[in-house]
Amino acid sequence: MPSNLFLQLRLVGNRFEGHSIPFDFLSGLAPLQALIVEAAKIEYLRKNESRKRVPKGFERSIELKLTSLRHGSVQLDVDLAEADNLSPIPNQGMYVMLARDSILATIHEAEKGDIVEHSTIPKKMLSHFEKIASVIADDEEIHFVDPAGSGNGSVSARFSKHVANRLVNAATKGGETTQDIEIRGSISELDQASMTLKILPVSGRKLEASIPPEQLHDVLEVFNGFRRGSQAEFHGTGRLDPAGRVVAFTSLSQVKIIDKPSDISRQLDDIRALEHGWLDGEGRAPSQSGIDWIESRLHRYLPADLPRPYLYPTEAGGVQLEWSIESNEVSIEVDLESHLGIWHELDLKSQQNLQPLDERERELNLDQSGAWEWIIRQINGMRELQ
Amino acid sequence: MKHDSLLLRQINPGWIRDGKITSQAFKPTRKDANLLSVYDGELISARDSHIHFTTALGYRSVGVVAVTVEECRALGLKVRSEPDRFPEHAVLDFTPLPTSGSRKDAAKQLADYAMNRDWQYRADTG
Repeated sequence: MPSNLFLQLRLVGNRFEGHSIPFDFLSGLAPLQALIVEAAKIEYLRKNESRKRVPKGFERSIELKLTSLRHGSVQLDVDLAEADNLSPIPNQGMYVMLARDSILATIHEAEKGDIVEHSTIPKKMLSHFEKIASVIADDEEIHFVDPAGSGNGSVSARFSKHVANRLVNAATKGGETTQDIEIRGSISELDQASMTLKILPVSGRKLEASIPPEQLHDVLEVFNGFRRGSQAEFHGTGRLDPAGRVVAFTSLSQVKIIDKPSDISRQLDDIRALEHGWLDGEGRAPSQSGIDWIESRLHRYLPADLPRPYLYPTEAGGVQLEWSIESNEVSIEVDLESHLGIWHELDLKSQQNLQPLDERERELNLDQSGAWEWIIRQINGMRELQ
Repeated sequence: MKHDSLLLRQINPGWIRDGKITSQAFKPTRKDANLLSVYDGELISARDSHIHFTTALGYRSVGVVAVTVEECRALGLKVRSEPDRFPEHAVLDFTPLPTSGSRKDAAKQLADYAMNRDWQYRADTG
């Protein structure tokens, strides 16, 4: 099987200074072959319009190999180990070369900002671009060099996270965007053969992701605890629809096991999962950002020795905190947009001798620490009276 | 309705936490226009009211709790049948309570009465 220099990759960024490549970067190069194969299929079908699919064995006969690391800079030579003359696919090498040229042109146009015209990048190719981008830091680039196109090795196309985002944003006409994401959820499915998993977020649809090999131990632990409610925080890159919902986990970089969700988080997770119309066809679903806000307030300000509040959604898309302290029923109706809360307390034993309502009701600005200090004093005061 | 007639209230899944229902279950929402819907326990069982609520009306409920006519009236609420929607339909009329705070008072008291009376029907256990 003859081989020949097919592509050169020049790595630019702090991590590559000193003529070395981190191992975790190398995993991001594997999708390059899949990208070339997908593009070659497109080229084949374009030249053979009468065919609906590529011939059997088309993928198997394309193989890329890293052959050398050049001195002087971090530059990788990528050879194409092409099927020899016995290949059942005539001119396959031509399709692969066309695929390379097409990919370089696409990256180059995205780099210049002209990618709008190429807004029909197949989804499969898009995911390969995203996987390659996932191993690049914000300040790093991969320069794709066509060794045949330039005798002096000039840069043909510069690929970066920014360019990858442009490609994705151009290809997803619905206005999807790509950004770093952090999702809490459990692992409902796991395939060790393909090293993929399915994340069941606390709200939203299931998301498939590739397992980072170094995270497999933690992934298995979360997966095995699925029935017991084991959860993790999944960090990486995701694609979001215009409403801000994560529609795809394009690259999973870290899995952090959550030992035990706090009672507050567990309750809020239930509220997160609500959809509009949850209350007899009415009832607004609270916003995710609003729930994040109240969750951070509660974790920050409520001391561990204070009774945990019961948390309920409200019809208006807010959250209501409730405490039952002996005969006292306390509620705070929280508006997640204005961050105002209405404190209300009632001593069920004092129906005949109630304090005036204006002494039992109070508006609180929950962005202010003083409001939380006041809440804690009131609740502790009720506990001391018991 | 007799003074000790049970008024059956359906509990939305979002309004129960670790067995405790929110007082909101007994406070009219904006769409209710101060009229909180209940089933007249003289005319329908708790179980059948749940079936009607979840199938005929198509809403969600984890179970049924109840307060009495007398408890409602003692809090200043009016109670009456309103069979236009369906024959067993009744309402707790909160209009005599002028402020949101006074309606919260009544709702908390009613939720306490209901929980002390225990569930009349639970969907998961029957």
